[in-house]
Amino acid sequence: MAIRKKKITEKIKKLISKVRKKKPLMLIDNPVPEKVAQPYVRPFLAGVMKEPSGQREKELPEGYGDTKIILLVRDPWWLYAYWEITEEKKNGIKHKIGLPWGEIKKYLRVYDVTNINFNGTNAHSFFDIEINDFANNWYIDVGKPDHAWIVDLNAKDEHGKFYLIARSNCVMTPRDTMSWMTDEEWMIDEDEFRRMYALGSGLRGTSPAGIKKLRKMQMQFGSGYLMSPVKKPGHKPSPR
Amino acid sequence: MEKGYLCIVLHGHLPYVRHPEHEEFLEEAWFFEAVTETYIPLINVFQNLIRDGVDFRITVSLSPTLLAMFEDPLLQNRCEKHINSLLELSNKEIERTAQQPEFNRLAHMYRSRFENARWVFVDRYGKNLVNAFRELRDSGKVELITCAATHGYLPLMEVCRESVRAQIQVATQYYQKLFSKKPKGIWLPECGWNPGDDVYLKEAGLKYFFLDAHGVLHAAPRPKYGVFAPVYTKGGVAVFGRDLESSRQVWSSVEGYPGDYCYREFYRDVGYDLDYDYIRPYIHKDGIRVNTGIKYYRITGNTNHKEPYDPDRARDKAAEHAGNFIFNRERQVEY
Repeated sequence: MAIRKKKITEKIKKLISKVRKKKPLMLIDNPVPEKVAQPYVRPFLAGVMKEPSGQREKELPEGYGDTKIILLVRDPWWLYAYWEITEEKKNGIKHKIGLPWGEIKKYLRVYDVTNINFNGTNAHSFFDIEINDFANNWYIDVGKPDHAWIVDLNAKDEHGKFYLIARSNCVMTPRDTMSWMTDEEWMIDEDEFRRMYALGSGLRGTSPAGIKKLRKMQMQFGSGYLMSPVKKPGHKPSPR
Repeated sequence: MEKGYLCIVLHGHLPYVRHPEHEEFLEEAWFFEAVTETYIPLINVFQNLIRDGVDFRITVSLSPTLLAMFEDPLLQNRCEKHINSLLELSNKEIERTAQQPEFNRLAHMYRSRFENARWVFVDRYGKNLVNAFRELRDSGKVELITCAATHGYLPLMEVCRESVRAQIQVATQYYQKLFSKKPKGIWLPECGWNPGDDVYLKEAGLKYFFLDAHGVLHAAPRPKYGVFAPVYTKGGVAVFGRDLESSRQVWSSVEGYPGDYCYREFYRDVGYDLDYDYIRPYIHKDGIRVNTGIKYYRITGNTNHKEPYDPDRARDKAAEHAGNFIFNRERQVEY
């Protein structure tokens, strides 16, 4: 799995560097003096749109005065979480643990809650990711398509006890391949479906091995555009 | 019995850019460029097919943001000004290239294009291309569908279902306001959806939408005919899957048709190529060089060496590509 992802990342990087070489991704912030060729942005290749004159009329607020964590699906293997913790909540946690906020360790606990009505303790499995104070969002490598997930944002005291700061919504990673569920009243021959699958995904005549290629293609082509460039796999914080 | 049908869907969208507080705004040029380079040529092709009595069917999705820009008087007037300025530039180009026949014929080509653009935009449709699409829809040949209100990516709104509903409701209501009927179909932004969003589609009276190939192929239960037949969602809305092979051919600049060496090189534009003082009135008013739309070169190859564009060769190539496209689809049907 790790090797495959690495390969895909390499491929995406290559693609991006190709795109950069050929098609500048961003407008230059300030008007450059005459005769310097300004990179032109085609609307949908542009990851970021910037005002040419530099000033923004309305900035998005840093926070909304709400302690919460939101979970989103990035693709069949990755999730993305972002969160906000109010000062009030921080003070409460500080009080309970008896340490300054900066010295309290914080963790994301990622629960596999597939087919479970989650009550906080009945997950199939979970894993923890230590996060830092500079991050307010995180890409999470769960590696399992077709599973349901919930993430808790926790603080930990010196004895290892967890204090819940916020619990996320539940999301489902989509399937990365054909479903095993077939309709009993709608018989489908396995080989016939594989042939159809290859044909529909532009892999005519290739074997199931071609599905690997399809995954790569999905990453590249998706709905026609490059997906947003992301950092290397691994739990890297994304600072503000 | 027919063995198969080909459904061609063109998705039209631009982000909403409108800045009355600036006399000129760089990104508004996306709209002007789209009008002269995409929508007017498209309208011309459809109108010519109708004129020639060709019985065609095509589906076009126009995003509400794009339609709102078509409708907006400020952008309409700015677009007219833009076309006028291109006309003026092409006239100067005809003079400038008088001694260079291979460029001069291109300058003439551009002038006649801009003259036509002006006629279509101003005279025929009163600066409002919504009129053009309404006319095409009424012809029965072009099925117009909608898209989410602001082209919002629905999967990211899963935690805020009201926003998903609003995107769909605003889109269909706006469509109804412009075209006096409800849309039958919708192109979801980036083909993204969450199971459950179909409830809102159904509520808005939408009968079908589109997903990428994997959206249909990975469905449960397995769809018997792969992407080659629509399936119904639980909510009772039909989904058509995109055929990756078809879209790759027309989209990919590497494997597909657009990268052919005969076609125009987008990145060689007189806005960058010509003498600064000469081109100054036709670029951004702050003196920033921009694309004007007058492009004299063809892709030629992978290097920076570019040969002049040859419209006849390009047209032959386009015909060849169209033939190849249809041939491949027929083979796909037979397969």
